Order: sequence, then C-alpha cells, then structure tokens
Amino acid sequence: MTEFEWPWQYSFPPFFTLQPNADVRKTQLDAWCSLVLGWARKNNVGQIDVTGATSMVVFRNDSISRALPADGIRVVLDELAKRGNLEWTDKTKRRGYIFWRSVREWGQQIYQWAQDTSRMNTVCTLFEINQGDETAGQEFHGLDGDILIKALRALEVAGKAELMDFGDNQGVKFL
Amino acid sequence: MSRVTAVGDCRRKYLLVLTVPSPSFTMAVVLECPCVILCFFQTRKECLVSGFWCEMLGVGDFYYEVGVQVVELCVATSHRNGGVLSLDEVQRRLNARRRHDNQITSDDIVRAVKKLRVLGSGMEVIATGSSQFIYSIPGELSMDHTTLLQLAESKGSLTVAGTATNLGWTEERTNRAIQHLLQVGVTWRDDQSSPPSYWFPAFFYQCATAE
Repeated sequence: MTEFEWPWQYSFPPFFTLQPNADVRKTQLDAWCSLVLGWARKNNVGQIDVTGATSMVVFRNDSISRALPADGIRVVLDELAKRGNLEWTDKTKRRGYIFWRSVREWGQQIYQWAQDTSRMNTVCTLFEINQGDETAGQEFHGLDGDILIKALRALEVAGKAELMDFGDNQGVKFL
Repeated sequence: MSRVTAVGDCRRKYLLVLTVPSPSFTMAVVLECPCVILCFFQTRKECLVSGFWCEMLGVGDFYYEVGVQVVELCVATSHRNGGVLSLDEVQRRLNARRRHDNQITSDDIVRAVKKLRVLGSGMEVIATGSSQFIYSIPGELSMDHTTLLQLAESKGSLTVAGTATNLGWTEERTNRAIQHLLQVGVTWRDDQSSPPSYWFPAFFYQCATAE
C-alpha cells in the first residue's frame, strides 16, 4: 500500500492556527476537511474521539512542532458534520462517525457487490461483508462495523435488504 | 469583427461596450474589480473573437494568449496564495502546459502582464533584487506592503519585531502593513511560534509546487 500523501498545507506552520480572515479561513477549513477525509480513508478510520484527537497524527505535525489546538479540531469536526461527512454519536459531541463516503453510497456499493456476486435472496453475515476474504478488493472491506450497519439500514429503508439478528451475530439478506 | 465603442474608466469601474455585426450581440458589461477578471473570461468565451482583444490591448495574439493564461492562473490559485505568485512559479506552470519547442521566457510573461494593464486587470509585476512576482490583489498596494512582500520572499516568514528591526520601521508601522496583508489574504498568521509569525503561501515552496 502506498504512503498517504500529505498535502502541502500539512507542512505549512500557520495551517495549524485558525485564520482570522474569513475568506482565508474558509480555504483553510476546506483543506482541513479534505485532509481529514483523505487520511481517514487511507487508514480506514471510521470513528473519531474528540478527546483523543489531539494526539492523532492528522491533527499534528511534530516535524514542524505544530498541532491544531482542541478548539480548532472542534471547528474542523463541526464543519465536517455540517457537510454530512461526520455524524456525532451523542449529544455531547465527544465521538463521531466519519464518512468519507455517505451512508447511502456505502449501501449502494454493497448492494452492487451483492448483485455482482449473486448473493440476492441469500443471507450474508456482516463479518463476511467487511472482513471476509471475498470482499478483499472492495472499498468497504474493513469498514467500521457501526457504519456498515447504518449503510445496511439505509438499504433496508429502501426495501433492498433485510437485517437479521442471530443472537451474537448479525446478518443481512439482500432483496 | 467586433469593435470597442466605448471604454470608460471611473476609478475601479470599467465599462466596455462591445459591438459586433449582429445587433443582438451588442452588450454592455460593467466590470468592477476584482470581478473584472472573471467577467473578462465570460465575454471571451461567449462571443468574442481574439481580434477584439488585440485591438484593445494593442498586442499580437501571442501576448494576448500568455496574458490570458496568467490571469487564469492567478484566478485558479488565488484561494491559496491570496493573489501573489512568484514569476518563477508562473513560468513553470505555464510552460508545463506548453509544447517543448514553444516555451516562454519570464520576459514574455512580464510583457504580457504589462499589456493587460490596459484592461485594468489589477495585475502588477513587482521586481525584487533577485526575482519578481505578480500580484493580482484588488486595491492598491502601498510601498510598505510591497517592501514586506519582498522581504517575505527572501525570509519565508516575518515577525513584527524582526521586520521592524530589519527595515528600520516602528513596530506600529510594521504591524499596520502586516495586518493589511492579513486582511487581503496574502499572509497567514501562525500563533504557535513565539512571537506570532506571518507566513506567505506564495513563497512557500511546497505550495508553489503543489498541483
């Protein structure tokens, strides 16, 4: 797997200070959002914990001794939430799911895969979908379990899948 | 063939009335800086033959073409550099799009930018000791701002105190000039250095070479 390619802003010291000029700040937040999403995608990060975020490598660059302060991280995450790329798990906004693809897009991809591999009307376990050998080449391979369920629920609402519980295991039937 | 029938210039407002053979094509465009550049493109795309620009600028097709490319580049990169581009960067980026046997020199670029002034494009070429840069910032830059840009190009980042010492200015004067550059988006503030420092994307190597 190739290394994640950091954008130029990541080595630009003032990138880690929220900019006072509104236009510049907008540019800055755009860059932050695409950095966080690109990084999450590359590293298969599905959830972000705000308290732990200050130590995440994406928010700090030790080689130039700069780190985005906690209030800056909050602003970036709020911006991601506004754009639909992040969903808080609780009201206190301490944890959030991060979507570099929307839940719907994930659902569509999984459904497409099920169609392509003749899995209609059969039951797959969730493990099979995000961990199984057969999905190794798929983008949703390694997808966070909670996000996977959200994606399948979206399919369920659209009448394309049915989630089922087998006690400690969950499965899905594609329709 | 299109023809300019009126070009009014009331400070930063430019009125161009373009007349072409078909009456339905007569249009008036009021251009106001800084949108002058964008409007300029719309009109070019929609209805104009290059002859019009040649006539207006008094240049041949070559400088017209280079000038338009410089403006395009300024517009495309201004969100990250605030409208300041080093001449080297402009030359490198433009040549990257051109054929090997059709490369341009920095002199061509300077000439093209100077010709564009007729349009009130708001672009200027500033020469420093060692190199040159182009700025396309709305509003005039004073001597102080230009001096700061020149210093920033050689140093990469500035602090108020350091700059004041360096230029023999008072801190108040230095601060005022820096705050202006901050306001127009040419410089970014870094609070994690002590004292705070000001950085210029245009002179930051990784930015100037980023795709």
